[in-house]
Amino acid sequence: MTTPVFAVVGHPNKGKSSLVATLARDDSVHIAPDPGTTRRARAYPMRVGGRVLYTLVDTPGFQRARRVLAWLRETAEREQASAADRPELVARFVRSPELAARHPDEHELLAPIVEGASILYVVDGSVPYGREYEPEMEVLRWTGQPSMAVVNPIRGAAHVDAWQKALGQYFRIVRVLDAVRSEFDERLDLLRAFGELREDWRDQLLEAVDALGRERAQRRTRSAQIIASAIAEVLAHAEEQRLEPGELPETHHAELSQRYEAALRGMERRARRDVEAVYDHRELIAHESELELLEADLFDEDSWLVFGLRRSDVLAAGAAGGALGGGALDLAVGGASLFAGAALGAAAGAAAGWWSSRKLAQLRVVDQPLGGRLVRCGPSRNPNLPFVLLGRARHHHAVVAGRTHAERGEVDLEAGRDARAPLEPGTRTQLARQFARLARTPGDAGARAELARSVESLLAADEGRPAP
Amino acid sequence: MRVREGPALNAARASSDIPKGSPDAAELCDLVGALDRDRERSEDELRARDAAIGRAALAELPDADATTRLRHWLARAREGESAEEVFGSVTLVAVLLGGLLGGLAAAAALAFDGPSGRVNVVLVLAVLVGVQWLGLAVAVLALVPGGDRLPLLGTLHGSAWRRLLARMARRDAVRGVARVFRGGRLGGALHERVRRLLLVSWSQVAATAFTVGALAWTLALVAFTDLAFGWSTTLDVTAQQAHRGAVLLATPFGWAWPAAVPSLELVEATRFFRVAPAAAGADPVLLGRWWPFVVACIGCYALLPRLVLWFAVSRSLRGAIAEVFVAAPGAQRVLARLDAVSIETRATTPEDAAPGPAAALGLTEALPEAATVVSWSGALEGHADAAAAGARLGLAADGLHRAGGHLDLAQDEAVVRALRDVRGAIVVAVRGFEAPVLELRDFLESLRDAVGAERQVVLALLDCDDPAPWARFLDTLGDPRLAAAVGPPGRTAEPETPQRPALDPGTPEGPA
Repeated sequence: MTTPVFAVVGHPNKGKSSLVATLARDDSVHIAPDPGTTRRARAYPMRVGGRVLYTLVDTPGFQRARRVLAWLRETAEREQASAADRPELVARFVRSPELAARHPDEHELLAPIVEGASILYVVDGSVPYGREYEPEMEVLRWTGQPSMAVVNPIRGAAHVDAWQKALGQYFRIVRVLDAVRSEFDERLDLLRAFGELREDWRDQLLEAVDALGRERAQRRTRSAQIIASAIAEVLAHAEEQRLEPGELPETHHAELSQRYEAALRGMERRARRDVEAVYDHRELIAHESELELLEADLFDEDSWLVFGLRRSDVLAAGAAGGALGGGALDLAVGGASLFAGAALGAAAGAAAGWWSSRKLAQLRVVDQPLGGRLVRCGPSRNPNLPFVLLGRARHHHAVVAGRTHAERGEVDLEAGRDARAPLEPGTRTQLARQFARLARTPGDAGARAELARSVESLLAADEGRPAP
Repeated sequence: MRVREGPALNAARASSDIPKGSPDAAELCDLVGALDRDRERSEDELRARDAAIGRAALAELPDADATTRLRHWLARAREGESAEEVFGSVTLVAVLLGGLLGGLAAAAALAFDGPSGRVNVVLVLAVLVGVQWLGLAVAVLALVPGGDRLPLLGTLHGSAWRRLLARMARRDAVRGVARVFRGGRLGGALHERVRRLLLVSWSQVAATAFTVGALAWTLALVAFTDLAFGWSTTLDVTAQQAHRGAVLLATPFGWAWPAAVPSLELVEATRFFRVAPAAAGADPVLLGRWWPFVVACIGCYALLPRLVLWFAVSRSLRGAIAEVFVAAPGAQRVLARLDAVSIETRATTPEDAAPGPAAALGLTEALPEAATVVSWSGALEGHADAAAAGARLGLAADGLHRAGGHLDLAQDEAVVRALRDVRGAIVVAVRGFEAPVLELRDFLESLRDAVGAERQVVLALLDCDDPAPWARFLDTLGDPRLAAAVGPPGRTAEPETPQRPALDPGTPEGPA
């Protein structure tokens, strides 16, 4: 069984590279209005588990189609070649170094076709049909390879009907697909249509469509896990600052608050980069207002001691030590003391522990304090914070998941944010419960997994809508 | 100290590298540490790494459950030291400390009691067995959920230990230990049971070592000194009652070791009172016969329960670890990455350098007032004559020629020949929304050769939204008398859709 290969060909600047970037999900493809942006054929194999299911080949546009057609016709006439000999004539054109030097673009675009690639002929449905396209369509017909046409309405669909009529006379299959703004399902439909070109390629194309569908669902799951983890981390985060003796905690409030907000924004940004990476968007620059925190009582005070011991621990340790000492005394007198030693020892030890924990904090060992006070900013107790984070993450996900790799320029996350459907009351209550559980036990993987499942169903519902 | 290899080396490891049996605490800590380190890496990096591991896992362990897949992943993805080092040190300290204390306790309990001249069997058993039962009770209490909330147990089994260990293990290499033992919010309830069981398990190791130490010291004293045992109590206990108690205690081992069951004669003969003269009337050989009973009691009532509890706790610990192994924060994301459909669609070769910025050379603001017009590639389709073409372009057209597009190359040559003889500027009208192609360049170069270097030639860009590509096109031509101007707005006529391919009537209908 041969591997399906599709050469994406056409007039210069008709969105061939956009179509390839979208189907190959490769944002490194140059897409520019300048003719000759694509100078050589470039292959994009689609591999599932290491096995190539099909290959797309992006090619330069036709530059001298009439000359190529003239050469083919003259040669055919001179050699009295029949229609059956035409593919061989095109192959000779490709093999000729002299002709390749004179027509480098046509050589590059015809070479994969001569080697067996099917033809995807791309036109722009937003500009009028013109007869100057006829020579290049004719050259493609001479190759004798299966072919289909894709109308790509780059700036609107004003001329799509005219194109469909014209192309229908050269190509058995004509499809319309906006390479830049197409939906995921439309792209899958196009791949299925590729499978119609050759019977023996159909299974591989259907396998590719199936793999892409499964991958889409897994990407949503992974995005939901990323979002749920980020929310859990935000709900757990706190910034701390140790205080010097006599220092007022308020002196650190502004700085701590800044650090806290910066940390939260950093967590949100990181989650976004991760979601973008899940969808293979690596160079996305998003424009969006920063997360705002309007909370006054984020601050809390506590004491710290070396080894992380708290006062209650020192107290308990003192009591235990005292009891052991007293217990030894009891043992020595054969229990005659009726364990008064242990009880007294425990009390004395606890008292010593209480006293020492106070003194310990003031003690300095090698000029390092053993304890002191600290001021803490966070974690946030604002019940709306996780909802705000989730709303922003959902919107970001919908934009990223709906964005093709042919789209260039900054992403405006402000646009269309309010168009997103509000949460159902039942969902809101369920989420509030999950957020509360996470706030209590942010490390609870069960709570995270539960939230991830809720987020996933929200993301799935969002994908049913057109991306803004 | 064993150092783990980096991910590249790990990729070559086989699935047999997964330790036998269910995962232990060190493996759990290693997993938590590896997942924690992953938080500092980009999704791209993680996906690339885990896709490779996932493929290998699929090949080696096609039907493995989530825990096995995670262990397979950990064997390849972990870096730095394993938590085994930390746990090994803790166990060693527990064994040494327990053994030493056990020996010291036995030495103290079996110390020769000057005034009475006897070692009180009751006291020995109270210290070496009774206190052990107290410790066992504490350990069992600590295993009860919520038991660590009791004041003393909270300290013994809870936060203080935990934080101390977390502090000890703060090194990057064993951060998993710190994560599992951290008392912070993210440490959370997930590992609470594992922590509790692990600490009880270590305490059983220490206690077992304590008992073994005590037993060893006792046997050493039996072998190298003459221990004179006796029994004494203030309570009103007769020798017969004491004998019945001793026989009852000896039930579990008496059938196997008859010498370890004290006889009534021994019990009667070895009772002593502090006020009575030392060793009065007692046979020194008889006084030593208590030792098999003492040793057997320590073995049966101190060592055995410890071993049973240790075994039970170890089993529960394995179970608890198996439960939380897959639930570690980040584990589900790893599994999702391992199971991800591995699809690669990107190009295998790097993209060419991007084109430079478009030049703005050669663009004029307006078309000349009068010129001979060439309609290139159907740009003035639907404009029948020079007057109509001139009106479209807003100039006085001296003539209209058609070239390019679907027309023959011979037509281009004819137009060039015709233009050689005309005077004044030449305007070549093009469809400005199309990209300039090399055929137009060929035509313009032929035209320049024909009309001479001085003749003004202007491209009229009709319906052009973006003149930059045209500016670049002019730039590449390098013709100083060639310019381009964006033509007046208007609608370019759409040609009739051909009824059948116009160029080659002999071609069969459509491609195969």
